[in-house]
Amino acid sequence: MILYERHYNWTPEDTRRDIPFAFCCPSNIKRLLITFTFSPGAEQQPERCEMAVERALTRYYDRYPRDIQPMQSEQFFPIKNLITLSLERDGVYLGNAHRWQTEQVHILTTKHASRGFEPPCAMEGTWAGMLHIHEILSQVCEGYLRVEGSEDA
Amino acid sequence: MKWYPVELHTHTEHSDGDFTPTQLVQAAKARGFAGVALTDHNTKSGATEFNAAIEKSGLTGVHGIEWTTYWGHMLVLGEYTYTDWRGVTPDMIDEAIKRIHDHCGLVGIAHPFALSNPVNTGYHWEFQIADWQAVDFLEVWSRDNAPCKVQSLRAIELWEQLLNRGCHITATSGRDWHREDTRSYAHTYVGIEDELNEQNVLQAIRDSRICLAAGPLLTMQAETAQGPVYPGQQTESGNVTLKLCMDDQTMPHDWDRTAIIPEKIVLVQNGEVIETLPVCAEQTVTVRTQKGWLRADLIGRYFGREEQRIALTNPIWTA
Repeated sequence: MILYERHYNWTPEDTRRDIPFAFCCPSNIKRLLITFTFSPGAEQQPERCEMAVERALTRYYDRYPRDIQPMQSEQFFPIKNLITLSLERDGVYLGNAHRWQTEQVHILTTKHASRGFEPPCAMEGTWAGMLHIHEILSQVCEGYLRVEGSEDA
Repeated sequence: MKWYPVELHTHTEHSDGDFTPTQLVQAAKARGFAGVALTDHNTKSGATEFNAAIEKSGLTGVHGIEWTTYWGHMLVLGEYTYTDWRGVTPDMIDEAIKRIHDHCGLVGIAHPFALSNPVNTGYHWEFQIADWQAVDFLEVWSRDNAPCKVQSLRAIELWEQLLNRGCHITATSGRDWHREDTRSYAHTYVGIEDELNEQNVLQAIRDSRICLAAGPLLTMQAETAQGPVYPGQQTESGNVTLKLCMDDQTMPHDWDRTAIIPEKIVLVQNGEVIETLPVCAEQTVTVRTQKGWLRADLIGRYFGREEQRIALTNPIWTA
C-alpha cells in the first residue's frame, strides 16, 4: 500500500530549504519502506563549480594569505548535491539519513530500522518527515519520494 | 591529575562515516585513545551497538550527536534525549542551547571556519549567538594537519577574543573521524583526577581541563599554597609559579616523531606572549601576570613548517 508519493523539481534557490511531508500509517501496517532518489547527484559543469567554490575559498581565507594553506577550486570538483531525509512518528524524532547516496531505501519496523533511524515504538500513527536540501548546485535536480506500507514485518 | 586522550568528534555508517560503531571503537582503541564519543550527523541510532562495543573494549564512551544544519554544525555531548535541530534558524540558537543544557548536554561549535558550501555543507558557523558564555566548547582544531590550517588560526583568534571578554569556553580538537587514513591528526586530552568515565569526561570539558596536542602533550598547572591550579581554574594574578610538563611518549602509534619537533614553549597572557621557555620534560617557572587568562603553547616544526603551534593548554584564569 502506497502511503505517500511525490515527485519534486528543485533548483539552487531551494538550497537551505526544508520540504516537509506527512502520512498516516494504519494499524495493519507492520513495515514501512521509504524510497528516496534524486538526480543528478553532482554538478559536473566546471564553470558552475568554479564560481561556487571560489566564493567558498574567498570566504574561507578571509584576510589570510592563501599560501598558508594552498587549495585549488578544481580539487573539489565535481560538487555533490546533498539532500537528506529525517523522520518522526507522533512527534517523536526517529533520526536522519545524513548520507550522500542518490538512491536510498529505508526500512522501518518496531524491531529494526535502517541506519540513521531508531525503530518506532509502534507503526500506527501520524508520521512526518522532512527532506533537507543542504545544497543543490545543479540547475535542476529531480527528486522522488515514496512510502509504502506492508502488512508483513 | 591524569591526562587521557579522547576523541570527541566521530561518524559511523549511521550517517556518512565508513565505520560501524564497533569498528569505530576498535579503531579508537588501536590508536591509543582512552575514550571516544559517537557524534553522528543528526542521529543517535548507532548508540546501542556503540554501547556494546564500549563495554567490550574497556574504553570510555561518550554519547553525542552532531547537529548538522544549514547554519553550522554543533556537537552535543551527554544529552539524555533529543533536542530537535530542525527548524532552528540563526537567531534561535541560544534557546536551543538552553534546551540542551536543560537535558544535561554540552554544546560545542564544530569547525567554525571550515571550508563550507558547496564543498562541505553548513560547515561555517553562521548561528547568531547572543550568549557566548553558554557555549561549552569550541573546536579550534579540526581534522588532519590542524596546526597549519587557516581555519585553525581563525578559530583560535575567535577563541582568544572570547577569552578576553571573560567567556570560559573550552578549546577542543576534533578528528571529525569518518574513516581510517594515514594523515596526521591532533588529540584532545582530558584532565581527570578520579575514575575515567563519561560524566567525568563531560565535567572536564565543562571545566576546561583540556589540553590539545598534535604531537607531544604539554600540560600546565599553577602551584599555590592551596594546592595545584589546573586549566579552567582560577588563581590570583601577580607572581604565578607554573609547572610545565611535556610528554613525548603519549599516543605512541598516532603521531610522527620525525616530523613533529618541539622547539620552545611560550606563555600567552590575554593574547600576548609574556615568556619564552626551552623545551624540557618538566620545568617550574614564576611569571608576573595580570588579570585575565594565561595559556601555554608548544611551538615547533610540523612537517617541515617552522614556528607552528603544535600543542596548547586551555587557560588558567588570573583574578
